[in-house]
Amino acid sequence: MKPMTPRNSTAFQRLAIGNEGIIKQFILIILALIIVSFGLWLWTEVKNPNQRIKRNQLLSKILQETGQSSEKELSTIQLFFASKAKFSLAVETREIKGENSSVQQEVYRALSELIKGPTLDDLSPTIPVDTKLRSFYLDKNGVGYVDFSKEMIKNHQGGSWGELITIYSIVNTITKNFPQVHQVKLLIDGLEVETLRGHLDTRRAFSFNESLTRTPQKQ
Amino acid sequence: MTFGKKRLGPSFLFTYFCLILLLLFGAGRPFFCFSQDLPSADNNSLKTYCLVIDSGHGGKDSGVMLEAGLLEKDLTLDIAQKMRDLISPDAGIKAILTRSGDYDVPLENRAAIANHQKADLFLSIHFSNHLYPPVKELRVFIAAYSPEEMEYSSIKGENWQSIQSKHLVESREFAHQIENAAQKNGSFESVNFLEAPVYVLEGASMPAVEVEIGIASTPEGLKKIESEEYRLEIAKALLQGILDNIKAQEQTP
Repeated sequence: MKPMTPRNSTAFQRLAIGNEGIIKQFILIILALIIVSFGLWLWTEVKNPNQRIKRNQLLSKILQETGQSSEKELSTIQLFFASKAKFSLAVETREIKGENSSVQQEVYRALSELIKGPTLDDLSPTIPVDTKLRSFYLDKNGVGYVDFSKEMIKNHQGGSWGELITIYSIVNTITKNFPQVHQVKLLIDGLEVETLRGHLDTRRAFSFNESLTRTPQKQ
Repeated sequence: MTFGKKRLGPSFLFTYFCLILLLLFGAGRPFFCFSQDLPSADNNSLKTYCLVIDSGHGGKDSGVMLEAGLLEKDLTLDIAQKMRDLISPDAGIKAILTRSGDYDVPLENRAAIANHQKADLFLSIHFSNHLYPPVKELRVFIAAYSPEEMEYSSIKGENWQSIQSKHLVESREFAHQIENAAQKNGSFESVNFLEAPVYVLEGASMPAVEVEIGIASTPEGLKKIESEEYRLEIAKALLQGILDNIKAQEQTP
């Protein structure tokens, strides 16, 4: 056993200082790692936000299956059909099963109800027979793209009023029930069309139409 | 180059060529000039108003079929022709139809005809049928633009779709004149005014209105629209609206 010498003590001190340096270095590396991984996470998040949506969907699905979330609930939607008595659109409320799903799926469900037509006697349908809904998607600017099959044109009777009532029954139904959809663009077989039957311009995106839901009759 | 036994020189060919040119253009010229200068007969101090009437559909596009053999394209042409014939020659109105027969006219071309003619008014005529009363209905449309579209066109300048946005105030006035005339005329049970993105109006660079004559597809409605007198009444009502607009334009210099 060697006696402790001042020299040794300085060596110990040095060691201690060295140790301190290592700890400092260690902390710095961990900090750098945290920053880098946070940066990476942020980057992937910005690059594809769909992944987050998918993850959230998966999460809600898991929650649903484990019974932590609410069970199948009925949600009330407002469907816009043509009024027989008045020169306007009129609302029929209907309850649909809301399965805690995405906006896309809910819009799909609402439009399927619109295609089925009204149940009230004083209303008439607005979507031509045999028309199928192909898809709906929402972009990050709140523009909803609703894609119908070609029967939308083929079986449409035409006319400015007829086209107006078809377009706004779809647009008003979507924008009224789903406020996150600001505007609606109509597609036929996945493509933009100039008009349905040669009257109204369907190259634009449509917003909710307030005036059509009242009678514009001037007496 | 040889001709018979003689050899024709280049100077000879050149004179021949010049002679042919002279015959072709020089001699024909007075006739061309004459035909070009002819139609400037009206040197009235009063302004001649140019009205373009658009008969909806035509050719392959028959529009709505009100019943077998009764097509929208024929009805719109009939009303347009009746309106043109109703205008008296001394009224100071030149009426031009976008089509004079049963053939295709693309949608853009209809407003383009009016723009090319520097028309003062543009009226597009359409028909439709419906299942429920009223039997006879008139819908008067003007173009509509969203606030975003108005802002966009004011920043980015004109494009084909936004031309009409500069004439909406006058178009609205024109529409109300047609509405009032139709209500006074009594040919329709109801008259409605609407703003919608009507394709045919969007490119028009003047007050522009589209009318849709809605006829119920009931025996009563069909009997009405088949009668010559009733169609003449419609033409009169629409023309009255145009005359009212011209009168108002003349009063405000």
